[in-house]
Amino acid sequence: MSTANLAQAPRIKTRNAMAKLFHPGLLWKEWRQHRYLWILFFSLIMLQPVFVPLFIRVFALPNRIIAESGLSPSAWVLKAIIQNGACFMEQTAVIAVVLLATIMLGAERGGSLNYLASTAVNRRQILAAKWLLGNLGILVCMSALLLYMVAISTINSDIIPISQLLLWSVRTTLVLLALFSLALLSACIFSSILYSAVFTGFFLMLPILLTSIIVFPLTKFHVLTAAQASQVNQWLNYLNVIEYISADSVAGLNNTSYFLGSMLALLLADLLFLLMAMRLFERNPLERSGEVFLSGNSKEKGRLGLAIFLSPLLACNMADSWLQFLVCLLLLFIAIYLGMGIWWRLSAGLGLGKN
Amino acid sequence: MELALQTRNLDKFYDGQKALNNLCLSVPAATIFGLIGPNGAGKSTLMKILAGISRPSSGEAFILGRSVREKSGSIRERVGYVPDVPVLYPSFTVAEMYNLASRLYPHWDWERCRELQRQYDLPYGQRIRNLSRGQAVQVSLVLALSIRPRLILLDEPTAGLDPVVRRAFMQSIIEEVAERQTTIFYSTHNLNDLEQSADYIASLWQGNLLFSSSLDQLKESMHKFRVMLADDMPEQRLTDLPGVMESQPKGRVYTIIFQGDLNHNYQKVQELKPLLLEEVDLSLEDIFLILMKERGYSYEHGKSGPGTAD
Amino acid sequence: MWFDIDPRSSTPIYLQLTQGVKEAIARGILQTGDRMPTVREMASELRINPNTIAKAYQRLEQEGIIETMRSRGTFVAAGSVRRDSQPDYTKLAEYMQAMLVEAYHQGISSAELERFFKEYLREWEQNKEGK
Repeated sequence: MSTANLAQAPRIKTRNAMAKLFHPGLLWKEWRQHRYLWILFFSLIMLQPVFVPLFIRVFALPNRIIAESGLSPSAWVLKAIIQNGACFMEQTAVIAVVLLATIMLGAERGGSLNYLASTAVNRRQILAAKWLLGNLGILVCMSALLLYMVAISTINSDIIPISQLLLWSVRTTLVLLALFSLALLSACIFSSILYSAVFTGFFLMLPILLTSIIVFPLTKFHVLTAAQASQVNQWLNYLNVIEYISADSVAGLNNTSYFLGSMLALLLADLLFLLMAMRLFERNPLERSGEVFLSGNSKEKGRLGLAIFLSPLLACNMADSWLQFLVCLLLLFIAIYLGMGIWWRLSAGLGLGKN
Repeated sequence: MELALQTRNLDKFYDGQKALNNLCLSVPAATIFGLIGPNGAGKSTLMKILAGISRPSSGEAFILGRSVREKSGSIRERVGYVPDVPVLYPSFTVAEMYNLASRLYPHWDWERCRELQRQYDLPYGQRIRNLSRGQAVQVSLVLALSIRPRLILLDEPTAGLDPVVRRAFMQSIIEEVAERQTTIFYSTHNLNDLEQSADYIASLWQGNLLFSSSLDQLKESMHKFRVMLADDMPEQRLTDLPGVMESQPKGRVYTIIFQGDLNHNYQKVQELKPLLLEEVDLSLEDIFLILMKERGYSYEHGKSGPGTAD
Repeated sequence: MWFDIDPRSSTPIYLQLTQGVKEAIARGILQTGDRMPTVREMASELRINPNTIAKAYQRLEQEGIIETMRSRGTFVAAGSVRRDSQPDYTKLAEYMQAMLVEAYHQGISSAELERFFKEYLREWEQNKEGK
């Protein structure tokens, strides 16, 4: 074999592997199954930037705040989105993306996953197609939004520089992509839509939870000073994915290299979650129509986890000294753990259904 | 002899219970192979492993020469699967299901699909959730047949179908074997269907393989006689003969089921100088009932044997 | 078709088929040179496993009852109605026993039975000639 061929061989292999991972038939299926969902998502994204100003104009609603600013309604809304943190559009987009991923995986649970598993595609391809549609969908929607924003800004005498718009768009898109992948991963773990949505929410709230479990008691019992505590809180904030959308909350985000670094991290997170989800999806048993995705003990683990996290939080609030804290911790842990067990037994006994 | 399907020491655990135990099954190519067994014997479990839905706990299973443990999907390109409960996409129309399958399988045959569709007269534009059970099963079958399969796995597909649909179903299967030498692996309770069409029969019982042989051999291994003894001949002489599996007296006539060579058993009974001795038809159902009864799974006078799962 | 296949019978299906074909020839329904249906056709019509039918055809061909001519099909062989060197009376004995038992229960005497048998045989011969 000539050296030229040898050099080409690995590249072709990777290309083939890539081509095999994303199956066009499955992509078609995902679109056909969820196209209305994605149209809904698109409308949701456009709700605040496009429809609100349209509404105001069409119905000629007098609004003192907008009038005072001297801007057109669409420009005013644009400014509100870009320059204020955590606006309606961002919040709904975050929730919508998580729900989308959960639903895209959850929709298979009626047994159609069994059908797919018995066809000539493999598990990785099934998941990768969902991931791909999610990422493409988000990209397309956000690109459309960006174009619209650029248009509005230009019409309204460049009220917001294009670079700022671009930065905001890139930040938000990457955050949404990472969130989508995360939600897809958690949907692979839990069998019910409720549980997987809760898990994603839990993961997003992780920094806050860690704060309350570790930092708060340590501060209260004077192990950490207030200054140290706020420093730790800042570090923990870096774990908070959503915060990356708003520039102000995460210090140093305006710094270019830091910006690039954090954006790259988000992109890698997107891919990492995909790989993890694929591996998990490939391994899980499809017994009993996909009821239990992870090992049969997700309920048990959930109970344990909940007890572990809630008890310190509550104990902290109740106790004034270390001793009291420890006693309360132990009692609360037992109470929560047993309480959940009793609750499950009761609800099973009353026939309230499982999972 | 080429094997379309093979399992080797296949084990499967479900919630700590052993659903399949050391299963060693061989299915020759271009045959119709029937799998029988009571409810809960493990038939569906085996099917799901072969179809790629479940994974073996230990041991191996091969379809068309390739292991089911392979991660790639290409081993199922020529394997059709018709499950006991048709699982398709409820919101898709029939046409869209075909469309989807055509994209998932590289050997899809639109001609065959349309031909079958016409034959069954299924509504193209109807959503899957609005189809009757029989129609849904037929759609599953069309999907399985249109991929140009070399092996078709059927998991109790005719359960609950009306006789018209069932007949059409069996006809398609037979034609498939006749025209394309497809292997059919068929798990069912309906012994009538199998009796007419199977080359080989295997039986599962509590996850174990009871027997696996050709249908002809199975039928040749057991015989049913109707015997009437002379007054002075004690009944014991008859029922104590070696090879007697079951003996049912009705008045003075005994219906005896023998295991073993026909002529040998016939002679043995003739030695008792019976007034009446004739061979009677022994159906597959009879054979099945006797073998199950031997294992304690029976329904006698209103009580069930220890093996019943439900 | 004229074949009555009973799947529940103790006789294997392929044997029932061979017997059916032989009987059809004996009755004159099938004659020398008649084309036999293909395995596929027969399988489809009777809804029987094509392998079973293939087995039956093989058997019949071995016994010289049918012959296959390349790319033309399978036909009833000439001279297929011939005696085996040693006729096998086992089956006949069975039928005989059944007949005698029935006659006994009905109170038909041996003489009457013989009369009935001769009559029936004569009719059978007549029908064959008529075909």
